[in-house]
Amino acid sequence: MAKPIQKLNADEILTVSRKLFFAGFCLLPMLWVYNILYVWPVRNRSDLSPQVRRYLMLSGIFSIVMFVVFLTWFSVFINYRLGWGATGDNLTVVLVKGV
Amino acid sequence: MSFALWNFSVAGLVSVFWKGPMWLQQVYLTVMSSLMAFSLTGLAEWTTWMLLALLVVWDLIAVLCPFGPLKILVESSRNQNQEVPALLYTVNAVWFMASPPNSILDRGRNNETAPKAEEEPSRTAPFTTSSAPDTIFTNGRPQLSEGHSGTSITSSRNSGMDASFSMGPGGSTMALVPPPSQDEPAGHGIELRERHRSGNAPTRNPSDRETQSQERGGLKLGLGDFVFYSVLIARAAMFDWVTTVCCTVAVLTGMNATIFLLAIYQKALPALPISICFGMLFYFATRFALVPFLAVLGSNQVFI
Repeated sequence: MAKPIQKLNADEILTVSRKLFFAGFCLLPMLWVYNILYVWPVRNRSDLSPQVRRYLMLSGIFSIVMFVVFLTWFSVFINYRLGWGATGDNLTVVLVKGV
Repeated sequence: MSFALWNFSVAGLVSVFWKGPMWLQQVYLTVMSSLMAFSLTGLAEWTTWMLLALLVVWDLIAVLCPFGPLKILVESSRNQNQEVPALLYTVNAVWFMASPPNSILDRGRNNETAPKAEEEPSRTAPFTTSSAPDTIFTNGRPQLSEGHSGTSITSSRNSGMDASFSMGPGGSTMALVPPPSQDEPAGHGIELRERHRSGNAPTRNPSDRETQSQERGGLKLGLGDFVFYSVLIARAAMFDWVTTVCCTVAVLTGMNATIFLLAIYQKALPALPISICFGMLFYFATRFALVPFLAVLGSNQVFI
């Protein structure tokens, strides 16, 4: 089920990393973080293809970018939500009473 | 919000049903059980208690009787050497810091995890327990094919894997799943044990068979069990602080007793009845006897 990364051989690690990387493009930056978390302990294994490190690095960069985007959106949303009228209400999940 | 939810769910799915770090899988299982327990507390109070009582009965039937669905499930999964794909929370004895005594050497590997459990009742978090989910909310009948079980609330069924969040049909199995191949040599068990003895850090053995059997041979505790324990304790918490503590103790005692029995009987046991019976007993006793007693003591300032 959830095998520890150490038990996978080099090919499988490459496949997993690649799948996680490409799946992250479906608006899923979490999978990029997941990629990094998962492959991190074995990133220095010698028999690993260099592709894996590239995937890791790209995943890292993309996840940071997405994180920044998310943060910006979030701050904008929280601060200007009230000024947007109906749209703001439609986008809000939890309506805070008293505001 | 939906973005965050989407990410969270997909990461959870990947971590539990596909490859991923073990600790992340456990985190997700814990979070999911807590969320489930939280949502179940929305029921009315007596409904919850009746539900728990009926669950106890159902659990006993489903697991112990010869025609119980869970028994068949466990048997079929054992016969086909296939792991039950449900929400399993695996005990990996490798994470233990202490090493087992020599006396259990002759009992083979099956009992390895169980005696450890008895010896260290106060173990810390790294002791990961494997749990097959159980829930009563299955709307469908259990389909006992290849280890599939019941329909599920969020039935995410992949074509390739049995990725169903399969809340098994009722009873929770505390199945100490023995190694899949019945003809495993005894030396295998000894090998694994020595590995545990040799290192404190989780030693990764390159041999596939050992790791496979180690993963499967862990103590498997039903995740649904934890959900219902949590529901019981949440109900207790809504009443008073004292009931919470008492019920927690009761449930934990029940769980220890069940693990103990598991070591004796060596087959799938229902984990719910003992704990829930203790829990409910303690809850009602505490609520109707202890709390007024303590209130009177408090108001009269008598300290025991």
